[in-house]
Amino acid sequence: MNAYLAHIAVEVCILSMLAISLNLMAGYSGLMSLGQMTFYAIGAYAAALLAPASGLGYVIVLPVAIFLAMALAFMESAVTIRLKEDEFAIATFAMHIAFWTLLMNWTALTKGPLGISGIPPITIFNITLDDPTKFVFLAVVSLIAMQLLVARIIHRPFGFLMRMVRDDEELARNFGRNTRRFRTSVWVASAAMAAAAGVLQAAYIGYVNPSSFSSMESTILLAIVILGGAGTYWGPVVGAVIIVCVPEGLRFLGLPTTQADNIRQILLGGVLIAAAYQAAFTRRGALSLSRHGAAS
Amino acid sequence: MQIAINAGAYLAIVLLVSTAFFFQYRLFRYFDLSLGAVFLAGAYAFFFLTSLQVSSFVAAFSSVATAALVGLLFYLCLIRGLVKMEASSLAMTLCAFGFYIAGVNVIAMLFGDEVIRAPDSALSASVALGGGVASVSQLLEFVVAICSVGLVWIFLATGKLGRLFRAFGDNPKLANEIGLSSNLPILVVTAWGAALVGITGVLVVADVGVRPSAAFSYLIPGLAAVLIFGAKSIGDTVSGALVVASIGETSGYAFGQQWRDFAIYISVALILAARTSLLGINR
Repeated sequence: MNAYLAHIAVEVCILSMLAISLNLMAGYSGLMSLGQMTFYAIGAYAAALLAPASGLGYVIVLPVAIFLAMALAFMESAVTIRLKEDEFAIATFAMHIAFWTLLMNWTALTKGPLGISGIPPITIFNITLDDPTKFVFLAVVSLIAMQLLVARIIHRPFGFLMRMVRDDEELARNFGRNTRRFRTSVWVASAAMAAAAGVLQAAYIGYVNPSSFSSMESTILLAIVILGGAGTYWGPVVGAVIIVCVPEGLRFLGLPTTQADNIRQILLGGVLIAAAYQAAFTRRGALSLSRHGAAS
Repeated sequence: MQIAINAGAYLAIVLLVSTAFFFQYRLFRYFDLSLGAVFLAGAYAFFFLTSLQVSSFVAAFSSVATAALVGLLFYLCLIRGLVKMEASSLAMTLCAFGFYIAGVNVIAMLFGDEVIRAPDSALSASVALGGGVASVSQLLEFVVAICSVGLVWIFLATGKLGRLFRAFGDNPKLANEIGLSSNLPILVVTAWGAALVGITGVLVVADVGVRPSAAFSYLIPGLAAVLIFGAKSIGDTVSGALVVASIGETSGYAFGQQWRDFAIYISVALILAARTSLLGINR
């Protein structure tokens, strides 16, 4: 396989996994988080810090990263889960910026803006996945595994409850469900998925720095989910394909990478505006943003 | 003395931005993050005009007018439609966020992503004050912030427009039912808020410089100030601004300026949680 196409495919797969994790929370459960990048960053930094040091490989790094992300998600949920929809979004955003500031300034651990390089590649059955044509198989298998996991979740009573809490939290309470505890569970599961995507990204690129996890990227992730179709099974993958491929297409038109990235972000800003109008127009919208939204 | 000057300048920025947030939050109960794009419009208009050798006074006035125009256009083209459709606070916040993201990137495409600072002018001159040094921009920030809070208080407490503003903020349906017109007060406070943020942009770019992605550093403390005590009155917002500025300056002094934002954001999240969990206050 062509290395360039393999690289694009890997980027699509990892971004899809990240978008799937947010879709579980925002799309299926109505928890509009603007801080999902925090957990992606935990996965990436756990890989960067533990993989070279432990010598135990990713069999240990992955569960540790997932555990750390789940623990932080649990703590964050304890602080914010009672907040109303827009305050919840702003609180998750604020906590993400706080976390990002930590990555930037705790130089003894994270090396600050310089980032951490030299992250070893993943080795499976003595095959070192050190180039895109090899890594792409792991990325595709991981994406399929995550989609299967989501399929199991959403087609079971837990998934039905997710949508019930999103669409009518009062009704879910009347059925005797502890909706706060339920939302915390979804958040923790979603954080675990994002951390797994972060580990893959760090192992693939071999380098992490805070700029990949900025607040802007966190918001753009939400736009990706909305673009593909929040609360739909294939929506995050479709959104990721569009967002990875549009700048690549613009590059072929002769636009510099930075301008292509600017155009991508302007497009995503437009997606957020359109999503707001769709929500107001349909009174429910892809993310259940109506006045009686799930998080109220 | 220098610490006091820096703290005063920081408080002034938080006050200016939080007053703008207060207007929109009081009226429509949403977080107008598009003010980030308004901030950049003011800053970059000033940078552009002063680079063309336009006098500081004319450039500042034109830049603030540009910022007010951007704020008005955002309201007229995007938010007014959502208000008419009775969109949720979250939908309006998302719309404002989308506008901000688009605005930041348009400016980055036009001017680049590097830090820009307006050429030296009367605004960037330094003044000895007690044992410390303040720039003219810092002094103006403080004066404008104090004056604007006073003006907002007078506007809300007296006069027909202020009463209309409060009426629509408290109960828009009832205000409509009894035939009050909301157009003028909404347009006035929208332009006013945008102008305040535009002034902040002008003074910041003249003093320390700015880059497109840095708008949020100036915006979020103002947003935090509105979040802490809500926005029932301008007093709530001023109290919030004092708390945010105190947390920011104290942590900056104790741990270094790079930790200031960290302390503010964590504190805001904790204060919100305490407000909803312990005190049971939720909007």
